[in-house]
Amino acid sequence: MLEKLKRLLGMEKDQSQNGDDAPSAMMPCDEVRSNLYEYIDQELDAETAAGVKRHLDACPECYPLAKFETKFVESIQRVTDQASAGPDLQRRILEALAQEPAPGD
Amino acid sequence: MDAVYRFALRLTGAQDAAEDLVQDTYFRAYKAWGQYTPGTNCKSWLFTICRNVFLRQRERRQRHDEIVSETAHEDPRAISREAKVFAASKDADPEGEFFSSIIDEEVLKAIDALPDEYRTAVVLSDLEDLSYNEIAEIMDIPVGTVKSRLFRGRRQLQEKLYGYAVDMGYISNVAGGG
Repeated sequence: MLEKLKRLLGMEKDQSQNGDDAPSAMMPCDEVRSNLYEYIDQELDAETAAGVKRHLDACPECYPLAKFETKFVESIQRVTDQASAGPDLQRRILEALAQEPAPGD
Repeated sequence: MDAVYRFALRLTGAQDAAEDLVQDTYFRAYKAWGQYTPGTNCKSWLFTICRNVFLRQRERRQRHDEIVSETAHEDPRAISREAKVFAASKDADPEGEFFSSIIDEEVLKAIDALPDEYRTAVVLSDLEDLSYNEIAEIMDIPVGTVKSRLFRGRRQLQEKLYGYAVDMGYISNVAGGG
C-alpha cells in the first residue's frame, strides 16, 4: 500500500510539473485562424500542427470554422477538370519538335 | 501533356491561346532539356516554363490585369478575421455542405474569374495538388507569398461560390434578409 501511495505521489508530482494544461500554452484563436489553411493542407511543422489541433479540439468558435474551411477546400480539390490536350495538339507538337535539331548535351 | 494543357487553359482562359501556350512550352522545354535535372519533378519544371512563357506573352500584349497588391508586412491576424462567407452561412449551413452542390463547371468558371496570381496559386494547389514549396518554385516567389496568395484566392473563390449558391437556392442568404 505504501508503494502504491509513493507511486501516486510521484505521479501527482509529475502532473504538477507538467505545464501542458496551463491556459497560456494554448495557441490564441487569431494564430490558429491565420494557420488554418496550412493546417488543412498539411503544410505546418509537427509542433505547430499539434498546437492547432489542440486548440481546435477545445475551441467552440474555431472548430466550426475549421470544419467549414475543410469542406470548402475538399470540394475544390474534388473538382475534375476534364480539359485534355487532345490527339491533334499532341501530334502537332510532336511534328514540330521532330523538325527541330536535337537539344545540345 | 494534359496537365500542362489544363494549366495553360486556366492561365489563358481560352482554348486557342492555351494550345499555343502548350506548344510554346514544349518547344522551350525541348530546347532547354539539358537544364532539366533527371529525377526532379518534371511536371513542376514544365509548369514553370509554361507560366514564364505566359507572363512574357502577356507583357508583350500589354494586357492590363487586376493589380494584386501585397504588402510585405501583412498582418495575418487581420486576414484571419475575414471569414465572411462562414459568418454569412453558418446559421443556414454551418458545415458548408452547399459547396458540394456546385457543379465542377461553375467552380472552374469561378476560378477562371480570379486575378491571375491568385488563380495560379489556387490552380497549382487545389487542382494540381502541388506543395507550397513546388508552387513557390514555379511562381518564383517566397513560400510566404504563396500562402498569402492562396489564402486570398481561396477567400475570393469562396465568396464567388457563395454568391452562386445563394442565386441557385442551395443556401438561403439569411444575413441578407432574403
